[in-house]
Amino acid sequence: MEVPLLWVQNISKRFGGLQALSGVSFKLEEGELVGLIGPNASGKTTLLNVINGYHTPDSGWIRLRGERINGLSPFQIARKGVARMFQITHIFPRMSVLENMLTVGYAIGRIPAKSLVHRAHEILDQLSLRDWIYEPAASLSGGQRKLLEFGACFMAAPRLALLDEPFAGVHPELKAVMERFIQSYHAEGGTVFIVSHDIPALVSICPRLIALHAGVLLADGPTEQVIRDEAVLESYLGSYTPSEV
Amino acid sequence: MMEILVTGAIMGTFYAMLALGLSLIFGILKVVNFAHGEFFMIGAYTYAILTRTFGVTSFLAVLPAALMGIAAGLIVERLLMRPLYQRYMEWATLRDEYAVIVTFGLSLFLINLANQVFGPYQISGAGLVPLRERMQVGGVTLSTHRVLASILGASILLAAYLLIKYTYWGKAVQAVAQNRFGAAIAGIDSTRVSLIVFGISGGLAAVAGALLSPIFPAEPFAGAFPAVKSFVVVVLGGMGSLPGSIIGAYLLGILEQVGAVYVSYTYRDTFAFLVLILTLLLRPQGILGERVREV
Amino acid sequence: MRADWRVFNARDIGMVLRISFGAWRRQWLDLALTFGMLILAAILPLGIPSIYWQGVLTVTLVYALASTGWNILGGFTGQFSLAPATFLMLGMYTSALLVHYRGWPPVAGILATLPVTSVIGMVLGLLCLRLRGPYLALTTVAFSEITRNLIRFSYNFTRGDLGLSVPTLYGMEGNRLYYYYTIYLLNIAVILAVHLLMSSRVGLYLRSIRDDEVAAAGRGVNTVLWKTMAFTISSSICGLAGGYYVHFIGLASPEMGLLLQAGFIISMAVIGGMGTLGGPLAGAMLLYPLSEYVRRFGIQYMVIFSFLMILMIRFWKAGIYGTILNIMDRWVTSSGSAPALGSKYL
Ligand SMILES: Nc1ncnc2c1ncn2[C@@H]1O[C@H](COP(=O)(O)OP(=O)(O)OP(=O)(O)O)[C@@H](O)[C@H]1O
Ligand SMILES: [Mg+2]
Repeated sequence: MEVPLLWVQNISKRFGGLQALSGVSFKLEEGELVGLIGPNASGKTTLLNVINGYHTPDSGWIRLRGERINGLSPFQIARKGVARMFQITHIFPRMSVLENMLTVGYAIGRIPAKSLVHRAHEILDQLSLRDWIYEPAASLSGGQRKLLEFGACFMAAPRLALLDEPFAGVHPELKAVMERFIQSYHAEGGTVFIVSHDIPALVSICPRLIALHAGVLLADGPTEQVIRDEAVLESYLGSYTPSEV
Repeated sequence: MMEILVTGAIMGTFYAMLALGLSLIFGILKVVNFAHGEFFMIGAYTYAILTRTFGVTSFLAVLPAALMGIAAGLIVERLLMRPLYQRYMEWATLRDEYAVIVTFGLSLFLINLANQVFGPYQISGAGLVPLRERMQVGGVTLSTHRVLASILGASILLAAYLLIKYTYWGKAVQAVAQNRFGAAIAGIDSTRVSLIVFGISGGLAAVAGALLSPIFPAEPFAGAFPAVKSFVVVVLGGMGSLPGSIIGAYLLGILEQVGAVYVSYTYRDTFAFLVLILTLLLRPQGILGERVREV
Repeated sequence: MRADWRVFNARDIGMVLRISFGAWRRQWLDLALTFGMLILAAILPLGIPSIYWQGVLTVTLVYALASTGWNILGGFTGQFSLAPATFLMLGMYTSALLVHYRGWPPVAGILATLPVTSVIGMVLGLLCLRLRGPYLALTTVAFSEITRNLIRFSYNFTRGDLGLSVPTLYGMEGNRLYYYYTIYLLNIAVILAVHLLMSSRVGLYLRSIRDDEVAAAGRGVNTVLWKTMAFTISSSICGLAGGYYVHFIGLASPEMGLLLQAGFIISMAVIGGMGTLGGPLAGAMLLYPLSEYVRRFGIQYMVIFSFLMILMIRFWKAGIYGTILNIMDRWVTSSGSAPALGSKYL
């Protein structure tokens, strides 16, 4: 365990005149469940995009189990076991729900092809998408699409799951299902990194939180400590309203 | 050198008239109208037939040509473009496909319809002044028609540009181009905006077709080359950027002249494609375009 | 995303060969229906004694092949190329030039179209890697116009607009039915190959790229590789069709590379049903004979077909064959164990 699973060092990213990330560094150990919070436009999604390989950082590096991954293409990073759930839902609308799941399974290839269909059924059962399995994903509702994307994320047994706003727009009951899913995945030793504005949910499931503000890492530590942090309170929680989108 | 600049600039004016409309459409719908050249063709036919067959005075014939173009634009918008923004979400993944097929199909349809109705013959319009008249511009001898046509074209272009920049509906067009949902929330009627844009685009293209028809006669394929050139222009200038498309138009007009004179006359129409491919490879967002966020 | 040679790795290439038969019920149904049409196509020319119409049917299958090729790119992968006719033309000239200048037998010329047009298709694919939607369509238009002009103006080499005459495959006196069944067999081979491809995991990759390229990359799909592959495979099929065609009509001409022809090929796939195995074949069998028929009345066939294409894409996106497939699909599923299957595959 001496090498962290994900090691982000001094990452900066600039879009034109906007410094979206400046010098962000942190480590995720194997088997951790960590939440990322921060006000809108604080760079959370950008951070995930950089980890994922959608953006190349202007400075710094990222290592996955000691191996440098910045500079690889997104699909290569995905195959190393970094799964991603997008903030704006990205599913394959003209493929059936099952095909959506299988695509991920085959493409990443971390679990044997033979067991993929079975695994897809298992996951879809848990997310109560069973009855839609042969339906084109386009016929799902917004929340269901979110669930499908969530499921697809765990399809290939990722080492690290990066979830961007998984709970937005999902029914409280299903949210509970997702939370349970995350927790059981965590209990099996999976690493999950969740971006969310749903502080109560994060507080209840994540033992550790990281807070970003204007691209700068404000706080990183045990949940209890971070949510009491002066700077975090001022920048985010103080103005936090539970009714955000 | 002066000659290249002047001839290039004259062609550039007409490219700009086409490209501005194309760019406006791309701005609000994010699609390329592959049938744009056929608006040009409609203008060319209208003008050529009016002046030749019915002997209408040249200057007067430009107006009906413009009206025909505007009408064509409005009809196309009404019948074919609605799905691109109504029921927007459902169509989100299909829209590129839909737009390419529908406009490409429309282009083929109009070309072949013209071929069916008028036959593959060329009809050249009468000049604004008799075509043999010449005049001197900056030490270069040019046909008076070309000069007058490009001045007329440029003033219409300028008028359209000012209309978009400064009137209420012009601002509405810009608003929709920047953010369709935001504009809708602000109470802008995007259907009307879209109609306006197609009307302007169709009209501009048709006037260009009319003014050029004495030089490039009306025929079924008349719109093909101008359209392709204007595609190149909007890519070069940056898709959706209006100043970009005008700068791009003059740039291409001059580049082509340079190519035709110094490189090869046979391949003069092929340079545009090279410019297109190079732009897409080297600077896909064009001179003034912006990249959009994807994830 | 950068085009990066490192991304072409052995694991992916090997995957083309490994077929996995999973829950691809729709694909099998598609194959069954397509074979129904192929059986019809097998007996059709026997019932038509007219040599002229046998010739028409032969050309029909040439277009069907080209349309099937385009469908891989446009229908399954969502890369809207407007250059299928250009690859047909390139196939024609590949074989014609080899036969004319090198004295190759026509069969060798036809086979040579495969590697040649694959390579050209691959290069175009790499050029288009970062482009999508309208940008891609524009680039392919540029490519096809440049190619056509090169062929037209390289007069000394290609005879330009006059065209290059070449010997036909079975000679001028050859039995028309030989020509027909040769292209028929080529169609069967290609359709089977496309079926295997599309019901393997590669089919999933291609369709995922069509639906959402960004997400596909984020989920481990090597989009660079598969897009390039789709271009390569599609172009080589169009090229093959062209290689055969030139030795049927005996003349290679740049006319074939007109955008009009591209429109014809695409309209077949659209009217038949994009993104289905049999759609292009159905479209070609419907449209090409019809085009020959209306030509007699002095009607520009593309007026009708482009109009139909617009109507179809506007109101009936699944296409004729696609709709039949959807209905059967629903019918098969609802009588089985699984829940009702939507027809919203579009
Ligand atoms: N591709 C891009 N191009 C230009 N600017 C970008 C891009 N991606 C992000 N930005 C900018 O970077 C800043 C951070 O954006 P980001 O999406 O990371 O915020 P966020 O923390 O995820 O916010 P939210 O909570 O609203 O999702 C924003 O100001 C955004 O406009
Ligand atoms: Mg975000």
